[in-house]
Amino acid sequence: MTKLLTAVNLKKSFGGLNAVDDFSIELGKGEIHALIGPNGAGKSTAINLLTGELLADQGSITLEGQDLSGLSTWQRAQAGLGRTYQITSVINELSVLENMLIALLAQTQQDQIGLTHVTKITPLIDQAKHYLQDFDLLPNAENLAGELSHGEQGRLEIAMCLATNPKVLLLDEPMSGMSLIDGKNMIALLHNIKQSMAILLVEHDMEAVFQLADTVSVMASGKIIASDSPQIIRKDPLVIEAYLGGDDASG
Amino acid sequence: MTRLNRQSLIIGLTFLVLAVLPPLLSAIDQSYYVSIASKILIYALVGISLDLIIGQAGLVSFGHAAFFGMGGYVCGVLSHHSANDLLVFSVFTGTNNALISWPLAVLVCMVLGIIIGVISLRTTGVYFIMITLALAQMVYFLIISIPQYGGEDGLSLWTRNKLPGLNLQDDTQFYYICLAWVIIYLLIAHKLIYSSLGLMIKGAKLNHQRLIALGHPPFKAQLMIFVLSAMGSGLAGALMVNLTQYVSPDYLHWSLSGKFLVIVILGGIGFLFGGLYGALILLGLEEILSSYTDHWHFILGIALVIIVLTSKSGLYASLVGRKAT
Repeated sequence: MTKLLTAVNLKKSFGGLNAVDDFSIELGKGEIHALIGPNGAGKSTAINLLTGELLADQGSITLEGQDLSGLSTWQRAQAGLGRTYQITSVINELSVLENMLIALLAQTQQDQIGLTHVTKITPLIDQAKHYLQDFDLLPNAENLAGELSHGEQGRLEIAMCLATNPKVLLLDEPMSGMSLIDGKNMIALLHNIKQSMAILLVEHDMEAVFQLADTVSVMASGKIIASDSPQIIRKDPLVIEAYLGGDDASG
Repeated sequence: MTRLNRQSLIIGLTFLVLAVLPPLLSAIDQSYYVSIASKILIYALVGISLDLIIGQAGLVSFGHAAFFGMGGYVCGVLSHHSANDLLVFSVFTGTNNALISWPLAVLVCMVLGIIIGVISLRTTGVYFIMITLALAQMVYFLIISIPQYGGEDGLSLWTRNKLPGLNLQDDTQFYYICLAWVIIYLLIAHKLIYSSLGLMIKGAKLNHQRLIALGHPPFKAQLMIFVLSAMGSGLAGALMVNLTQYVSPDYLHWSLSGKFLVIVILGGIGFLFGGLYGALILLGLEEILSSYTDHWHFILGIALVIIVLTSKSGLYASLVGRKAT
């Protein structure tokens, strides 16, 4: 498996609190790497360190050999890091189609940014609609993104990320707050897109994690305490104690 | 009536009134008001240009008087040199030709806009307000420190600029020139807003974090709209100096930047036509109230508070029944 993203010994402390300590992770193409752990374990902080939204106190991050450590968030995004947020971040006040257009214009269709009326750039509109079709959002194209259901917003956010052709996708609790059906659709969706990229999945939904993940890393108090295949993690006594709890682990 | 029809009707009526205003005023023997109408159009041009940066990009510039005044000073200084047969920087002769003065005023404001924009667009929110204010005040103090151009007294012009085929000294002709510029600028701004560039700017205003995470820092697009805004205000300044035949440091003063903000807020942030209505209501009230009492500032203040409280998205928004996004 080709390694895409490698983070070594990332550390971040806020005052005296070590939010993330000695965090190392490798993400390979075609692989879903789940990051689990109790609230406050440092999972979201770790994602923010990878994207550069927080600057690590120490440690290094490389994407296909390119050192990302000194790059800003948008430069890392251009290098191929896409992310979603724990609180879904789409542009609520714009239509679903406009959200999709912005995502396309952000990187892959940058040369289309100009003074032409946006609805007259036919190839761009077609491409945006194509994405919306794939993500089952086309009927909502003219609706405001803020009017979508939680599940639809989550799909839109991932569609927007994919429009930038990321090499690595960092997903911060994509299933949280979703209905059962939306959650199942998301699992199918992630399964479909994983072939062409590496995915880091922070998720509390254990059913989803054990269905999807090729590797599971468990965080507690800022540290990765175990990292292995789902089958082994399920049975790791340290993990069960820290997080899963005896009965849930088998479920 | 649908919202769109109502909007078209109001815009159509507005331009109809603006188009027939001078003959109308002369028919009722009130031609004096033509130059006041020109002044309103000039402030409207600033309002429209300022709304580009406030309404579209979500960045409040508290320094647009710098562009207004600079545009005015370029015209004033060129005219001053022309009238007194002095060389500018000991190199160029002055000119009174609008075809040279006005583009030059806009060009200088473009450069000033790039300088101020590059510095201030590194910040957002309150810091953007403060840094645009600070930079504009630097321009103000720079200009009043040049005694050659009147220092704090400003410069008087002998005559308005010359435009081949027209007589700008004629208030009616000058009014139509102002109206033409307002329309041209509206068309340019409209094109920008509905373009892909405009969409990116709007996206950055509404969710900056998302744009960054998508790998698209909005700086370049914001700079473009800031510079276009600066150019519009600079042109308005050039027109203002022609209208009053006087260029004063007041045109660069921060209090005028504040007045421009009031125009945008009154008219409606995020609506291009807001600037037009904002200028109309503010300058109209000033004109009417000051003819009745010396204490008109007090009444104007109360009137503004009432307007802002009753029409939260601005006057234009209330007229067309829309809310700003």
